[in-house]
Amino acid sequence: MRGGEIEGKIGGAQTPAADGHALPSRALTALTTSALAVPGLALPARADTPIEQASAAYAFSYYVEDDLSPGRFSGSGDRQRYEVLTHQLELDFPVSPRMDVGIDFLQEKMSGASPWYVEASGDERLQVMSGATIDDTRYDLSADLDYYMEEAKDTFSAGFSKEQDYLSVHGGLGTERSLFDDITTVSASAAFSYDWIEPNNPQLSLARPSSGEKWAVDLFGGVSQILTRASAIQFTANYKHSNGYLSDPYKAIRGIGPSDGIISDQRPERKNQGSFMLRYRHHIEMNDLFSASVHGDYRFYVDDWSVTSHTFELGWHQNIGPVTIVPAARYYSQSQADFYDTVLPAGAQQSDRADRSSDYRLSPYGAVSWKIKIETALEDILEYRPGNRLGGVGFSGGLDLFVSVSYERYLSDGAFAFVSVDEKDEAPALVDFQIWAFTVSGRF
Amino acid sequence: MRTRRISSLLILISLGFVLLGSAGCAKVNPWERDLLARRDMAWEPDSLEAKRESHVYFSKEASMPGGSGGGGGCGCN
Repeated sequence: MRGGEIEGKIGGAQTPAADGHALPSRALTALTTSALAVPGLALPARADTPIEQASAAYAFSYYVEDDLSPGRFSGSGDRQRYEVLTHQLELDFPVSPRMDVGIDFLQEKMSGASPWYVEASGDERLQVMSGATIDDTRYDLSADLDYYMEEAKDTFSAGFSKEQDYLSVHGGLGTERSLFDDITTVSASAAFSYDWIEPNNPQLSLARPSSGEKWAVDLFGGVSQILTRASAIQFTANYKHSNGYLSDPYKAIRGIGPSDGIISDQRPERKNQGSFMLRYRHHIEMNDLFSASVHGDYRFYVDDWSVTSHTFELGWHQNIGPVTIVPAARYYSQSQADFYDTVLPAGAQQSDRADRSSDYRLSPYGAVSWKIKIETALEDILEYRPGNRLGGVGFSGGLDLFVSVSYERYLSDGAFAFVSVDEKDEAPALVDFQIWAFTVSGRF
Repeated sequence: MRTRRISSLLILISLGFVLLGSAGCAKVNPWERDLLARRDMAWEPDSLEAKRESHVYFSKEASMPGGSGGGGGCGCN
């Protein structure tokens, strides 16, 4: 989506720190968040017209999980967990007076060991990891087309994601309308996805299926509202229904008895999820050189597997001339799924528990994370003569560059949860990770 | 338990609309929206970062991203 772009360009004409790299994305991202970012905050003259300048952005990021601590580890697997190297590229350009296009490409290489099942030692819970290191590459390509009308915009999106053992395709339609002189923007979208999984080495694990399929429908609605000259608020709601193979073929669970074996992870074949989000933005002008924007987000989530969660995010965007420094913090807390257990009772057989999982992602826990990002804008660093063809897709004859680096640290623990978590229920595989990222974007 | 959850959901939805509704009479003229149009005031100022984080949280937490889809990929491991 190119909400940031339109805003950036509008801001660029009027404010020194504005940026505008293009924001195309996959189906829902395109149809929801970023889509809402445009007209609710953009000037009416631009809210219903495509972007005018082409833009491109590239990001490289390194995601690495902490090793599993020796005190929470059992067996002969590898304590070294996941790391992911990701390249992202996005392009945005106008194709007609009423249309613009966004293209999004991602490649990431993943490697490391994965949590398999949990052993019990009294009240203590120890994680058994997968024996072999997993190596996989994911490719993701998506495109979206925006069609602009008077006070309105429709978006069509489609894309796919491919891993060695996984294929996902998706498509969606979205619309948004500006009301009351663009003070209010209403948005709605619907998206559909279909996924196929063919687990690696099905013979290596008990009841690991040779293949599985699922589909999902995602509905979205939102309202964004200008409050004052320097503040805006947004309320959004999502509903998602998933149907099919929703288990994790690489996870298992074992009985607590000494003679009990391990059995496969098995989850219900249907899932209904809902989330509600409230976001607030406020700008503070300090003087010609200094200004800041405050971002506050809250999300409530609920599903019919009994998981509820709360997420709070707070960010401070401090502008100092062409440099922006962004410290941000996030708090997350979730309750457990009703079929989650670290281990099953002694003597439990596969038939006793139709649904069961020891996956740490379905366990009760809380997480805190913090992030720091530094960005700088290098405007008008190059002038050139675009030909007719380039001029037709938004090359204006100048180049602005934007460069940023960021670091994020994420820690999760049963003790961080809203409610107290018993030692027997706390997943030993709860993950801590960090992300380093570098982004460069250009507006042509 | 279920009733309590449904009530809290309804309260939340109502709160959202009350907050938005209470601002319905705000009058900010088009020529007064320069601050609102700034990039650092966008709902997602950095789309690559937003997509990256959305996918990480989707892969590591039980919740569905709010306002945007985690989308593509297994999210396993």
